[in-house]
Amino acid sequence: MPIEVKEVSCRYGERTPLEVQALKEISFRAEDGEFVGIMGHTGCGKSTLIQLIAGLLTPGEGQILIDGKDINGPGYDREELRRTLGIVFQYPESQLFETTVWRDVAFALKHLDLSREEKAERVRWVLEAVGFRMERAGKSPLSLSGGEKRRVAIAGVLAARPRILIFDEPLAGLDPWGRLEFLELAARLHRQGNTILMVSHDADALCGYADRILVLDRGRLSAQGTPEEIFGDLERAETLHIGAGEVRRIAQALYEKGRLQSPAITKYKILLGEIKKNNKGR
Amino acid sequence: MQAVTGKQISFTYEYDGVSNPVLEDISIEIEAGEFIAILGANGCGKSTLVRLLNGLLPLEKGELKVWNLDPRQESRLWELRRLCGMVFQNPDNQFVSSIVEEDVAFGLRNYDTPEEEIPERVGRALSLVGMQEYERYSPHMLSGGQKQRVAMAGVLAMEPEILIFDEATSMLDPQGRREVLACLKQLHEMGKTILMITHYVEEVLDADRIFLMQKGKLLKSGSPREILTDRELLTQAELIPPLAVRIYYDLKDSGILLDRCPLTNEELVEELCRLK
Ligand SMILES: Nc1ncnc2c1ncn2[C@@H]1O[C@H](COP(=O)(O)OP(=O)(O)OP(=O)(O)O)[C@@H](O)[C@H]1O
Ligand SMILES: [Mg+2]
Repeated sequence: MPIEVKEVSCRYGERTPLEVQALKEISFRAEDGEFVGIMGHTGCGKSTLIQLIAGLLTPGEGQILIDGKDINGPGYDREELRRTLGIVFQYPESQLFETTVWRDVAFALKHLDLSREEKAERVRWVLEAVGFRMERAGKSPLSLSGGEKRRVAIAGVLAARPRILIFDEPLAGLDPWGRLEFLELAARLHRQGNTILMVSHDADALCGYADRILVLDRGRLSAQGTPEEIFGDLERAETLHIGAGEVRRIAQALYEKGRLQSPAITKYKILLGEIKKNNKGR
Repeated sequence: MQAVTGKQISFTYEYDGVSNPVLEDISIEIEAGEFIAILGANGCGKSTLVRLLNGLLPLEKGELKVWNLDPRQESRLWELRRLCGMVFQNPDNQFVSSIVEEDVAFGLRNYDTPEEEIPERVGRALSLVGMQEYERYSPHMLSGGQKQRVAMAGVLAMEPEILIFDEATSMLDPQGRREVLACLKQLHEMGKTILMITHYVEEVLDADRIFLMQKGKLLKSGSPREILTDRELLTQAELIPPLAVRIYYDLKDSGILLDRCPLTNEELVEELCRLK
């Protein structure tokens, strides 16, 4: 189920004095099973873009095709979109509304043809996967801390196992383990063939896990490529208004001191491996 | 002078007839002018603790003095909230008005500040956060970092002594994050007492002290170096050390030993360059 975004433009407040062009002529393709990261500074249109792909907004111009079908075309079955695509919003607390955590997660399974036991199993699996302790599933979502709410919101979306997963800043509010666990979970889903689109400001996270990164700048798609392509040249990354991650910056400093052969390292494991290799036997 | 003195504070949430003990026997002392960072895993009680300080939650067990006030003294709750202002995580739901200067003035009006004093105080607060040129803007036209700085100005207009940031940077891009942290540092230099909750260890390197919390307890308080280079301690708190510290330990585990454990990336590079 590739996602194809074709020449998409989108405006807010059309024909008012406050009209803003949120997206301008965006085109890209996300292949089946690809993990695509989306970066760009605040207000550059990232959330607009993923809301368009999720069918929550309609583009002023252009088309969005999923599995070859225009999701805004006449006769398109919106139910199909709902089954295949799950989205976790930037402020997930607004996604929680049931009286208990358990019910909130189970709600996503309502329309699925599963037995009671299967549903219960699914809820247990997904709460564990996001690091939420089962014994607290009877609590009200209102009584959770910020990071706990985010975990539950993510669980609610994953429960139905949609093939396309869209995350808008899923790491915000999670503690360091929570971030790592989430990324590992995303990597596992990615290996199982899910398509993942993830908006994040965390360059280290995207570089470590995404196949490809799209960069938006003031509503335009200003670059796309592998993490190494995007951050290989730091000056270019600067002109794209995105900051490199810590790994890349340490690699740069070591390279400048003659301690690394190449500065274009964006993944922790590779950096560590190179440092080890260069210092073996010291 | 002591900004905060807390002795044996405990707190339990009552919700739907279930009680959930969240803070247990916490004792803290914060000097006026200190910059304290609070670290701890999700749900360990950080937000709960700071909400007790400014009276958003009622103190039940223990003793607490914030500046010269006892949060239990309900008649002075307003004064407490003025003295101890808070900035939250979400830049989009902290606005009550559609014009920046009105928004910053909101608290002042609530506190019946004489109308003729308001423009000056709003102007001063906005210039403290570098947003004076935006006074006529609508908040939705601002970037995340700018929104958070306006929220800070709203707090600063009240002339507080203590500022609390509860994950105020977590929704921001790197640029916005830098803006807010620079502002925070400047307020610290002006002598304000700062409490900052964050999940990003690299943001707390400049703190005077870190309060490390775990499951409702204060596990340890100490300098960033003391806390953040102690892998075992951080593991106990269910946290992950900063990148430089992780590299140090990963190298150590494979037999490469640096002279000392670096805290920052610069120190790491320095140490690596010292290896022969
Ligand atoms: N209104 C509430 N009613 C009942 N329990 C609550 C309430 N708010 C928080 N809790 C519980 O209290 C504990 C501490 O929550 P708190 O919000 O202080 O954590 P935190 O350290 O700020 O976490 P986070 O890093 O996720 O923001 C959590 O277990 C949470 O579930
Ligand atoms: Mg919190």
